[in-house]
Amino acid sequence: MIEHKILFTGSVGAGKTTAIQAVSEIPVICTDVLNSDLTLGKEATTVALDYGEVSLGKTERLRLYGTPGQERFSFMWDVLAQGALGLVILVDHTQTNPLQDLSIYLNHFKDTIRKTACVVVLSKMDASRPPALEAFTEMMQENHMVYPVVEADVRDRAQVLWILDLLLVQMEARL
Amino acid sequence: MTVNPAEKKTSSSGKRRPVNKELCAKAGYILGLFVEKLGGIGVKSAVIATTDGFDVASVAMSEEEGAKLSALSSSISAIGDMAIKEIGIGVSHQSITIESESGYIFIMDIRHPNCPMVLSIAASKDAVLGKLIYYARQVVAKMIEA
Repeated sequence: MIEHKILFTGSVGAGKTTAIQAVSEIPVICTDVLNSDLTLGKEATTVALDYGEVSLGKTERLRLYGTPGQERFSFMWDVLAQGALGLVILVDHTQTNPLQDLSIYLNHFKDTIRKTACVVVLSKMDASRPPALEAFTEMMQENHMVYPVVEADVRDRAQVLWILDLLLVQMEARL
Repeated sequence: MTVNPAEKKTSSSGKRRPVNKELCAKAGYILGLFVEKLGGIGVKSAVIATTDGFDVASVAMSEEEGAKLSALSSSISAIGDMAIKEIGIGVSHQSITIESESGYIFIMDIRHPNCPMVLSIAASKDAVLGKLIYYARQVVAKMIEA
Protein backbone atom coordinates (compact mmCIF):
# COMPACT_ATOMS: atom_id res chain seq x y z
CA MET A 1 0.00 0.00 0.00
CA ILE A 2 1.43 3.36 -1.06
CA GLU A 3 0.47 6.18 1.28
CA HIS A 4 0.54 9.90 0.59
CA LYS A 5 0.05 12.72 3.04
CA ILE A 6 -2.29 15.47 1.84
CA LEU A 7 -2.78 18.71 3.75
CA PHE A 8 -5.96 20.80 3.74
CA THR A 9 -5.42 24.39 4.75
CA GLY A 10 -7.05 27.76 4.11
CA SER A 11 -9.33 30.36 5.59
CA VAL A 12 -11.52 29.89 8.67
CA GLY A 13 -14.90 28.41 7.80
CA ALA A 14 -13.90 27.50 4.23
CA GLY A 15 -14.69 23.83 4.93
CA LYS A 16 -11.42 22.04 5.70
CA THR A 17 -12.94 19.74 8.32
CA THR A 18 -16.07 19.30 6.16
CA ALA A 19 -14.00 18.28 3.11
CA ILE A 20 -12.11 15.63 5.07
CA GLN A 21 -15.36 14.35 6.61
CA ALA A 22 -16.92 14.13 3.14
CA VAL A 23 -14.40 11.56 1.87
CA SER A 24 -12.85 9.86 4.89
CA GLU A 25 -13.41 6.13 5.26
CA ILE A 26 -12.56 6.24 8.96
CA PRO A 27 -14.29 8.41 11.58
CA VAL A 28 -12.50 11.74 11.28
CA ILE A 29 -10.33 12.63 14.24
CA CYS A 30 -11.15 16.26 15.04
CA THR A 31 -9.91 18.83 17.51
CA ASP A 32 -12.99 21.03 17.32
CA VAL A 33 -13.71 23.29 20.27
CA LEU A 34 -16.30 25.96 20.99
CA ASN A 35 -15.58 28.99 18.81
CA SER A 36 -15.54 32.18 20.86
CA ASP A 37 -14.87 34.60 17.97
CA LEU A 38 -18.39 35.77 17.14
CA THR A 39 -17.21 37.48 13.95
CA LEU A 40 -16.74 34.03 12.40
CA GLY A 41 -20.35 32.92 12.74
CA LYS A 42 -19.74 29.26 13.50
CA GLU A 43 -20.16 27.03 16.53
CA ALA A 44 -16.95 25.04 16.50
CA THR A 45 -13.46 25.58 15.20
CA THR A 46 -10.39 23.36 14.71
CA VAL A 47 -7.52 24.26 17.06
CA ALA A 48 -4.97 21.56 16.31
CA LEU A 49 -5.69 19.22 13.41
CA ASP A 50 -8.16 16.94 11.63
CA TYR A 51 -7.25 13.50 10.36
CA GLY A 52 -9.01 11.20 7.93
CA GLU A 53 -8.14 8.52 5.39
CA VAL A 54 -9.34 7.58 1.92
CA SER A 55 -8.14 4.74 -0.28
CA LEU A 56 -7.86 4.90 -4.03
CA GLY A 57 -8.17 1.47 -5.53
CA LYS A 58 -6.28 -1.31 -3.79
CA THR A 59 -2.82 0.15 -3.90
CA GLU A 60 -3.00 3.75 -2.73
CA ARG A 61 -4.18 5.42 0.41
CA LEU A 62 -4.34 9.13 1.18
CA ARG A 63 -3.83 10.37 4.72
CA LEU A 64 -5.75 13.62 4.97
CA TYR A 65 -4.68 16.25 7.48
CA GLY A 66 -6.52 19.50 8.11
CA THR A 67 -5.03 22.61 9.74
CA PRO A 68 -6.69 25.30 11.84
CA GLY A 69 -7.47 28.35 9.67
CA GLN A 70 -6.55 31.15 12.07
CA GLU A 71 -3.08 32.63 11.82
CA ARG A 72 -2.59 32.39 15.57
CA PHE A 73 -2.29 28.63 15.00
CA SER A 74 0.37 28.97 12.30
CA PHE A 75 2.77 26.84 14.39
CA MET A 76 0.42 23.94 13.58
CA TRP A 77 0.67 24.80 9.85
CA ASP A 78 4.42 24.18 9.96
CA VAL A 79 4.12 20.97 11.98
CA LEU A 80 1.47 19.55 9.66
CA ALA A 81 3.16 20.57 6.40
CA GLN A 82 6.11 18.26 7.13
CA GLY A 83 6.10 15.39 4.69
CA ALA A 84 2.99 16.54 2.82
CA LEU A 85 3.00 15.64 -0.87
CA GLY A 86 -0.06 17.67 -1.76
CA LEU A 87 -1.65 20.85 -0.52
CA VAL A 88 -5.30 21.88 -0.85
CA ILE A 89 -5.88 25.56 -0.09
CA LEU A 90 -9.55 26.29 0.59
CA VAL A 91 -10.79 29.86 0.37
CA ASP A 92 -14.22 30.94 1.62
CA HIS A 93 -15.44 33.11 -1.26
CA THR A 94 -18.08 34.86 0.90
CA GLN A 95 -15.47 36.59 3.07
CA THR A 96 -14.66 40.31 2.73
CA ASN A 97 -11.35 39.82 0.97
CA PRO A 98 -10.87 36.25 -0.28
CA LEU A 99 -7.90 37.24 -2.47
CA GLN A 100 -6.05 38.53 0.55
CA ASP A 101 -7.03 35.35 2.44
CA LEU A 102 -5.45 33.25 -0.31
CA SER A 103 -2.26 35.32 -0.24
CA ILE A 104 -1.77 34.50 3.47
CA TYR A 105 -1.58 30.77 2.71
CA LEU A 106 0.34 31.12 -0.57
CA ASN A 107 2.92 33.13 1.31
CA HIS A 108 3.17 30.95 4.39
CA PHE A 109 3.28 27.66 2.46
CA LYS A 110 5.40 28.88 -0.48
CA ASP A 111 8.25 26.48 0.21
CA THR A 112 5.86 23.53 0.55
CA ILE A 113 3.97 24.56 -2.60
CA ARG A 114 7.20 24.69 -4.60
CA LYS A 115 8.02 21.11 -3.60
CA THR A 116 4.55 19.58 -3.81
CA ALA A 117 1.31 19.45 -5.72
CA CYS A 118 -1.29 22.14 -5.00
CA VAL A 119 -4.92 22.96 -5.75
CA VAL A 120 -6.74 26.14 -4.76
CA VAL A 121 -10.43 25.59 -4.05
CA LEU A 122 -12.99 28.38 -3.82
CA SER A 123 -15.84 27.29 -1.57
CA LYS A 124 -19.31 28.78 -1.02
CA MET A 125 -18.80 30.63 -4.31
CA ASP A 126 -21.52 32.75 -5.84
CA ALA A 127 -20.31 33.38 -9.39
CA SER A 128 -22.33 36.61 -9.60
CA ARG A 129 -20.20 38.14 -6.86
CA PRO A 130 -16.64 39.35 -7.39
CA PRO A 131 -13.82 38.46 -7.36
CA ALA A 132 -14.07 36.08 -10.31
CA LEU A 133 -12.14 32.84 -10.44
CA GLU A 134 -9.74 34.42 -12.95
CA ALA A 135 -8.63 36.96 -10.33
CA PHE A 136 -7.35 34.08 -8.17
CA THR A 137 -5.62 32.46 -11.15
CA GLU A 138 -3.92 35.76 -11.99
CA MET A 139 -2.77 36.14 -8.42
CA MET A 140 -1.20 32.67 -8.54
CA GLN A 141 0.56 33.52 -11.81
CA GLU A 142 1.92 36.75 -10.34
CA ASN A 143 3.48 34.55 -7.66
CA HIS A 144 4.83 32.23 -10.38
CA MET A 145 2.63 29.41 -9.13
CA VAL A 146 0.97 27.44 -11.90
CA TYR A 147 -1.62 25.32 -10.16
CA PRO A 148 -5.32 24.69 -10.73
CA VAL A 149 -7.89 27.02 -9.17
CA VAL A 150 -11.36 25.47 -8.98
CA GLU A 151 -14.74 26.08 -7.46
CA ALA A 152 -16.25 23.25 -5.41
CA ASP A 153 -18.85 22.28 -2.84
CA VAL A 154 -16.70 20.46 -0.31
CA ARG A 155 -19.73 18.86 1.37
CA ASP A 156 -20.00 16.66 -1.72
CA ARG A 157 -17.85 13.53 -1.64
CA ALA A 158 -17.55 13.36 -5.45
CA GLN A 159 -16.26 16.92 -5.67
CA VAL A 160 -13.67 16.39 -2.93
CA LEU A 161 -12.49 13.20 -4.68
CA TRP A 162 -12.15 15.27 -7.86
CA ILE A 163 -9.95 17.79 -5.97
CA LEU A 164 -7.78 14.92 -4.72
CA ASP A 165 -7.58 13.66 -8.30
CA LEU A 166 -6.27 17.05 -9.44
CA LEU A 167 -3.50 16.67 -6.85
CA LEU A 168 -2.66 13.09 -7.79
CA VAL A 169 -2.30 13.95 -11.47
CA GLN A 170 0.34 16.54 -10.52
CA MET A 171 2.05 14.15 -8.11
CA GLU A 172 2.30 11.46 -10.79
CA ALA A 173 3.68 13.97 -13.30
CA ARG A 174 6.48 14.74 -10.83
CA LEU A 175 7.52 11.13 -10.34
CA MET B 1 5.14 40.49 38.20
CA THR B 2 2.46 42.13 36.14
CA VAL B 3 -0.99 40.74 35.56
CA ASN B 4 -2.66 41.47 32.24
CA PRO B 5 -6.39 40.88 32.10
CA ALA B 6 -7.10 40.74 28.38
CA GLU B 7 -10.42 42.55 28.19
CA LYS B 8 -9.04 45.42 26.14
CA LYS B 9 -7.54 43.30 23.41
CA THR B 10 -9.27 42.45 20.16
CA SER B 11 -9.38 39.39 17.95
CA SER B 12 -7.44 39.24 14.69
CA SER B 13 -10.59 40.27 12.86
CA GLY B 14 -10.57 43.53 14.80
CA LYS B 15 -13.78 43.02 16.74
CA ARG B 16 -14.09 42.37 20.44
CA ARG B 17 -14.01 38.86 21.68
CA PRO B 18 -17.06 37.83 23.66
CA VAL B 19 -15.21 36.89 26.85
CA ASN B 20 -16.68 39.35 29.31
CA LYS B 21 -14.62 41.90 31.22
CA GLU B 22 -15.63 40.53 34.58
CA LEU B 23 -14.31 37.06 33.77
CA CYS B 24 -11.03 38.53 32.43
CA ALA B 25 -10.60 40.60 35.60
CA LYS B 26 -11.31 37.60 37.86
CA ALA B 27 -8.90 35.44 35.87
CA GLY B 28 -6.21 38.11 36.23
CA TYR B 29 -6.79 38.32 39.98
CA ILE B 30 -6.73 34.53 40.45
CA LEU B 31 -3.54 34.17 38.38
CA GLY B 32 -1.93 36.94 40.42
CA LEU B 33 -2.72 35.08 43.66
CA PHE B 34 -1.32 31.88 42.18
CA VAL B 35 2.06 33.46 41.41
CA GLU B 36 2.08 35.06 44.87
CA LYS B 37 1.49 31.69 46.58
CA LEU B 38 4.44 30.17 44.76
CA GLY B 39 6.51 33.16 45.81
CA GLY B 40 7.20 33.66 42.12
CA ILE B 41 9.70 30.78 42.29
CA GLY B 42 10.25 29.21 38.90
CA VAL B 43 7.13 30.56 37.21
CA LYS B 44 8.08 32.14 33.90
CA SER B 45 4.60 32.83 32.66
CA ALA B 46 1.01 31.75 33.12
CA VAL B 47 -2.08 32.23 30.98
CA ILE B 48 -5.76 31.50 31.14
CA ALA B 49 -7.05 31.16 27.57
CA THR B 50 -10.29 30.18 25.89
CA THR B 51 -10.23 26.63 24.47
CA ASP B 52 -10.01 28.21 21.01
CA GLY B 53 -6.81 30.01 21.92
CA PHE B 54 -7.58 33.60 22.93
CA ASP B 55 -5.95 34.88 26.11
CA VAL B 56 -8.31 35.77 28.94
CA ALA B 57 -5.54 36.82 31.34
CA SER B 58 -1.78 36.38 31.51
CA VAL B 59 0.99 36.91 34.03
CA ALA B 60 4.60 38.01 33.69
CA MET B 61 4.94 38.15 29.97
CA SER B 62 4.40 40.44 27.02
CA GLU B 63 1.06 40.55 25.21
CA GLU B 64 2.58 38.71 22.26
CA GLU B 65 3.92 35.93 24.47
CA GLY B 66 0.55 35.64 26.18
CA ALA B 67 -1.18 35.31 22.82
CA LYS B 68 1.33 32.70 21.66
CA LEU B 69 1.12 30.56 24.81
CA SER B 70 -2.69 30.79 24.62
CA ALA B 71 -2.86 29.45 21.06
CA LEU B 72 -0.23 26.75 21.74
CA SER B 73 -2.02 25.61 24.90
CA SER B 74 -5.40 25.27 23.23
CA SER B 75 -3.85 23.09 20.50
CA ILE B 76 -1.94 20.93 22.99
CA SER B 77 -5.02 20.52 25.17
CA ALA B 78 -7.13 19.48 22.16
CA ILE B 79 -4.48 16.98 21.05
CA GLY B 80 -4.41 15.61 24.62
CA ASP B 81 -8.17 15.04 24.57
CA MET B 82 -7.92 13.48 21.13
CA ALA B 83 -5.26 11.01 22.30
CA ILE B 84 -7.21 10.06 25.43
CA LYS B 85 -10.34 9.36 23.37
CA GLU B 86 -8.58 7.48 20.57
CA ILE B 87 -6.69 5.24 22.99
CA GLY B 88 -9.87 4.68 24.98
CA ILE B 89 -8.69 5.73 28.43
CA GLY B 90 -11.32 8.38 29.06
CA VAL B 91 -12.99 11.32 27.36
CA SER B 92 -10.69 14.17 28.33
CA HIS B 93 -7.31 14.82 29.93
CA GLN B 94 -6.99 16.06 33.50
CA SER B 95 -3.60 17.62 32.98
CA ILE B 96 -0.68 17.65 30.56
CA THR B 97 2.93 18.14 31.60
CA ILE B 98 5.66 18.78 29.07
CA GLU B 99 9.18 18.62 30.47
CA SER B 100 12.31 19.99 28.81
CA GLU B 101 15.91 20.08 29.99
CA SER B 102 15.31 23.47 31.55
CA GLY B 103 11.64 23.67 32.44
CA TYR B 104 8.04 22.61 32.24
CA ILE B 105 4.76 23.54 30.61
CA PHE B 106 1.81 22.44 32.72
CA ILE B 107 -1.71 22.53 31.26
CA MET B 108 -5.13 21.95 32.84
CA ASP B 109 -8.60 22.44 31.36
CA ILE B 110 -11.07 24.76 33.09
CA ARG B 111 -14.52 23.31 32.46
CA HIS B 112 -16.42 26.53 32.97
CA PRO B 113 -20.13 26.10 32.09
CA ASN B 114 -20.29 29.12 29.72
CA CYS B 115 -16.72 29.68 28.72
CA PRO B 116 -14.45 26.61 28.54
CA MET B 117 -10.85 27.64 29.18
CA VAL B 118 -7.30 26.31 29.53
CA LEU B 119 -4.77 27.14 32.24
CA SER B 120 -1.19 26.98 31.11
CA ILE B 121 1.92 27.58 33.20
CA ALA B 122 5.46 27.79 31.91
CA ALA B 123 8.03 27.19 34.66
CA SER B 124 11.77 26.72 34.97
CA LYS B 125 13.35 23.71 36.69
CA ASP B 126 13.58 25.83 39.86
CA ALA B 127 9.84 25.34 40.30
CA VAL B 128 8.66 22.69 42.75
CA LEU B 129 6.33 20.82 40.43
CA GLY B 130 4.16 19.29 43.17
CA LYS B 131 3.52 22.67 44.71
CA LEU B 132 2.84 24.20 41.32
CA ILE B 133 0.27 21.51 40.47
CA TYR B 134 -1.38 21.88 43.90
CA TYR B 135 -1.95 25.60 43.36
CA ALA B 136 -2.83 25.15 39.67
CA ARG B 137 -5.72 22.89 40.76
CA GLN B 138 -6.94 25.66 43.03
CA VAL B 139 -6.85 28.11 40.12
CA VAL B 140 -8.96 25.72 38.04
CA ALA B 141 -11.48 25.21 40.87
CA LYS B 142 -11.85 28.96 41.40
CA MET B 143 -12.17 29.69 37.69
CA ILE B 144 -14.93 27.11 37.20
CA GLU B 145 -16.99 29.08 39.72
CA ALA B 146 -15.98 32.50 38.31
